[in-house]
Amino acid sequence: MKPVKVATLWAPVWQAAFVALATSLGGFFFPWWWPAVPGLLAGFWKPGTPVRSFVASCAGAGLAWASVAAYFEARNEGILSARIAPLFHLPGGGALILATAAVGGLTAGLGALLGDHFRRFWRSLLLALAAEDVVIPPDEEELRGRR
Amino acid sequence: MALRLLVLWIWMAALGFKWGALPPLGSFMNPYVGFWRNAESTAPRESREVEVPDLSGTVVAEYDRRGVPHVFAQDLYGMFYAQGYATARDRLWQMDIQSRAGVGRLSEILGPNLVRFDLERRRMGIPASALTTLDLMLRDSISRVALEAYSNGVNAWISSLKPATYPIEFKLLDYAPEAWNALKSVVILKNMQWTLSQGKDDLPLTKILTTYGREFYSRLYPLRHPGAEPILPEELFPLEPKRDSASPVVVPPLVFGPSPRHDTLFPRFNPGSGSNNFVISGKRTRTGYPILANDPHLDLTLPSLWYEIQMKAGPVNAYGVSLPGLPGLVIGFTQSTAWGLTNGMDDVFDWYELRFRNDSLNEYLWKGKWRMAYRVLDTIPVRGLTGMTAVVDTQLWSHMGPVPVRRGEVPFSANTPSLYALKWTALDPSNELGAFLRMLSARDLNTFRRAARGVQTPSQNFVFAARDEIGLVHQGRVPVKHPGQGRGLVRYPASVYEWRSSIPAGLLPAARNPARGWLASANQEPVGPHYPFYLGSGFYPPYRSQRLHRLLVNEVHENSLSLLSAWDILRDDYSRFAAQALPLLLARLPDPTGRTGEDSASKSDAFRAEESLRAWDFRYKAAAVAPVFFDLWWKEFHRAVWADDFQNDSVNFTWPSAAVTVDLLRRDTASSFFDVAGTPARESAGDIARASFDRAVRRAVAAGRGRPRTWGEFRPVSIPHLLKLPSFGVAELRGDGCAECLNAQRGSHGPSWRMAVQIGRRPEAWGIYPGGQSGNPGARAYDAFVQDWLAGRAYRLLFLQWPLEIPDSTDYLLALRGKK
Repeated sequence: MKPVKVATLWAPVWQAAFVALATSLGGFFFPWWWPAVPGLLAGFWKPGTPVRSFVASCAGAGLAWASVAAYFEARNEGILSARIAPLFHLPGGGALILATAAVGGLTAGLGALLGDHFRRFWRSLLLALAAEDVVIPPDEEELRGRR
Repeated sequence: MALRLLVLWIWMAALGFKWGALPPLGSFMNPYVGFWRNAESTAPRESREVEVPDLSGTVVAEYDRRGVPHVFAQDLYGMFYAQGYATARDRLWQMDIQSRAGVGRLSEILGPNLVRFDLERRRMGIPASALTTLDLMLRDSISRVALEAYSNGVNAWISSLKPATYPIEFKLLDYAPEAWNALKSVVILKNMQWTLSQGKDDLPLTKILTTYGREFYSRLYPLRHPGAEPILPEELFPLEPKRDSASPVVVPPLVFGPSPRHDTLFPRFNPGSGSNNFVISGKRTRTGYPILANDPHLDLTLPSLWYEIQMKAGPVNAYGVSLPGLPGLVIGFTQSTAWGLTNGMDDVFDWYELRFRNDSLNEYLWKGKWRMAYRVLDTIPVRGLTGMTAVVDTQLWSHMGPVPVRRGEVPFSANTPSLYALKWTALDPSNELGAFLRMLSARDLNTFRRAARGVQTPSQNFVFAARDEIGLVHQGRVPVKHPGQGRGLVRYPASVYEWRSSIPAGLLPAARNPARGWLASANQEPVGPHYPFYLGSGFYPPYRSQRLHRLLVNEVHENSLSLLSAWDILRDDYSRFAAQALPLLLARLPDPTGRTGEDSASKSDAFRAEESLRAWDFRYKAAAVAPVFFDLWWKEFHRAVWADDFQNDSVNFTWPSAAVTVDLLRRDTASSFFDVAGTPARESAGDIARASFDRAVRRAVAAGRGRPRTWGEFRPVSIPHLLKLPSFGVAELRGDGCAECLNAQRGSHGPSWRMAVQIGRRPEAWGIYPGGQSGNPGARAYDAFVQDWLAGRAYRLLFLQWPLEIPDSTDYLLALRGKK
C-alpha cells in the first residue's frame, strides 16, 4: 500500500465546500443551472479522480440546495410540499427536499465531470507544448495508471 | 470530452424546458426561484407600508384574522386601486387565467389541447362583445374610474413581482403574468354571464318535438313545472292597474301561418347553478330588524370564485364578495342596506336558423331579401406552434350574431346547431359593472332599483333590505317573445321571430314591503300565469322553492326569524322532492308484512333498504344510508320509465323532468309511458317501481361491498383546483345536502357563498365560502374555510367604520402610499 498524500485526501472536501458556498451565494443572482459553474471550476481546480470530483461537487451543491429548501419547508410547516410532492409521486416533504438536492447536485456533479476533463485536456495540451525539460508533476491517478 | 459535454448539455436541456405537463424542472426545483419560494411563512405577518405608482395619498388595508382586507381610502379611485392591489396580491394567477379563458386564449398557455375550448369562446362572439362592452363602460364615469383604478392597482402589484415571487401556477405552467387592463375585467364579467347562460337544451328539445310530435312534447315538456310556486304570485305583483299605463308593449305580430313550432319551455332536471335568497321584513323577525340571506350555488373551485373584502371611501362603506378581476362587490351589505341575487333563468339565448343561398355561405335569406354574411379572420396563438402552423380561423357572422358552427364541423356541445346564428343578450353591450358599483351607495329601495336597472344580462332576482323596507326585483333585459319562442331552435323563417323590444323596466316583476312580510327566490318561475309576457322555460323544479316558502311562512308566523334560523334555512338538507316521490314509489312495493319471513341474503338487503326508506325523514345527512337507496332507486326508475320511449340515437334526448315524472306517477299510474316497449306484458308504474327497486338495492350493496354506504360516502363533496391537480384540491369530503335541498351540495357544486345579514343599528352579518382568501396552495389561508363550510358553520363578518376600530380583530395593516 502506498501512502496517499494528505492534500489529495482533503481535495474533495475543499471541492465540496467551495461548490456549496458558491452555489449558495450565486443562487441569488443566477439561473437554476448555476451549480454547474462552481462544479466545473472545482473539477478543474483540484486534481483527483472524475468520480471523486463528481461526488464532492454533487454533495456540495446538493447540500446547498437542500438547506435552502429545508428552510422553506420549516417556515411553511410543510403545507406546500404536501401539495407538490404528490405531483411527482413522492411521499412527502423530505423526499421533495432530496429531489431538490438531486437536481442541484447532479447539475454541479456533471459540471465537475466536465471540469475534470478540461483539466486533463489542459494538461495534455501543456505536455505536448512543453519543452522537454519542464517537469510537470503527475496526477495521482496517472501515477496509478502507470503502475 | 465530447461525451461529458453532451451529458451536461442533455441534462440542462432536459431540465431547462417544459416537457408535456411537467414544468421546467431546473428552475421549478431551484429553491431560490422555484416552487419553494411559494412556501410562505406561517408566522404572523408584519404591518408594512409600500410605495406604489399611480396613486396619490395613502390607502390603508386592514387585514383581519381570516385574511379579509378592509380598505379605507379617501376617494373611490384609491378604494378600487387598493381592491385591485389586494386582490392581485392574493389571487393573481386566478385572475390571469380566467381573463385569458374568457376570450379564448388558453392554448397560448396550455398548448394545442385547448384550441377547441378557445375556438368555442371566440366563435360565440365573446371577445368581440367584451370590446363593445368595454367601450360602453368607459363612457360611464363611475365604471371608468373603477376600471382604471383597479387596473392600476393590479399592475402595481404585478410590477412588484419577480419570477421568484410569481404565484406557483405560473411556475408550473412556465409563463409570466400579463399586465392587467380594463378589458380583462370586462372578460371576468363575461365569464359569469356565460356560466349563468349555460345548460340550454334547445337542440335536443327540437329533436324531440320533430321526432315525437307536438302532443308528446307539450305533455311531457310543459312550459311550467307542475306544482310551481312563482317568486311573485299575482297578489304580490298585480299587473292589472298597469296594463293601461303609458308604456306601450310591443308584442310582435305573427306574420306567417300557425303559432310557432318551437314553443314550450323545457324543465331541465339538471339543477346546475341554482341559488337561494330571501329577505324578511323587520316587522316579522325576532329582533325587529330586517334579515336578508343569499347563497349562490355555483361550481366550487380552489382558489374560490369569490374574494371577500370591505371597502370604504367617503360615504361608501360596503362589505361583501367580489369576483377576482372585477372591481366592486357582487353580493354584500352596507351600514343600512343589504342585497343578494339568484339567477333569473330567463331565456335570453336563442338560435336562429339561417338559409344560405349556396355553399359559399356568403348570403342568407332574411325577410325576403338576401343579406351578406361577413367573415372575420381570427388567429389563435398556440403554445408550441408558431408562424405558418398557428391556428387561423375564419369566423362567420350574420347581422343577428355569430354563426359558431358550420355544416360538417364538430359542434362544441350537444346544444350548438350548425348554420344557426346565436342571439344572446350578453353579446350586446351593457354596463352591469356600473350597476353593481352604484348598489354600493344605494340608500333605499328606489335608489337600489335605479342602480340595478343597469343589470341587463343575464337577468337576476335581486333581494334588497334597508332598515324599514324590503324588496325584490326580477331584473334583466328580456326580449318580448311568444310563449315558448326560443325554447327550441328558431327555425326558418326565423326572421319572423326576431327580437323587437324588451319588457319595459316598469313591467318587470318586482315587489316591495309585501303584507306577508317576506320575499324569496330559488330560480323558479318568477311570476304566475297572470303575467302577460313569456320569460322562458328553463326555471328550476319547484322543490327547493316550495321548501323555502314553507320554512319562511313558519318563521314569519311565529315572528321567530333570527340570524341563526336564517342560517339554518340556508343549510337545510330536507328534500321536498324525496318527500313527494318516495311515498309514491313505496306504495308500489309489496306489503312489507309479507316479507318478514324471507331469509335469503338479497331479500334481507331489500328488506333493510325498504325499512330504512320507510323510516327516512327525507333529510340528506352525510351519515344516513336511506338517501343512497332513494337516489339510486329514483335514477333507476326514471331511466326505466323513459329510456324505452326514446330512440337510441346519437342525440342525447333530454328525458322528461323529475317533476313531470312524479306528476305522472301521482295521477296516471296506468299511463302507457310506464309500459316497457318490447315486452309482451303491459307494465304498470308498480312493475317498474319494483324492478327498479331491486336493481337499486343490488347496485347499492355491490358498490358498498356488503355494507350499505352512507350518503357522504356515496356522493362526496370535492373542491378541485382550477387546473384539476388532485393534490391542489380537496376531495372526499362528507357533507349534508343534495341537489334539491336548500343546501344544494352535490359533488363539486354547491353553496359558493352563504351570507345572512341583519340590518340593525349596526349590520350584523354572517358568511362563509368554501375556500380561503389566499390563492396560494402553499398558504394555510388557501382552504382555511372549507371544513367550517362543510360543517355548516358561519363566520361573523367584521364590518368596520374606521381602521383599528376593533384592534383585537386586526392581523396586520398594509398601507399603500403613492409615489411623489
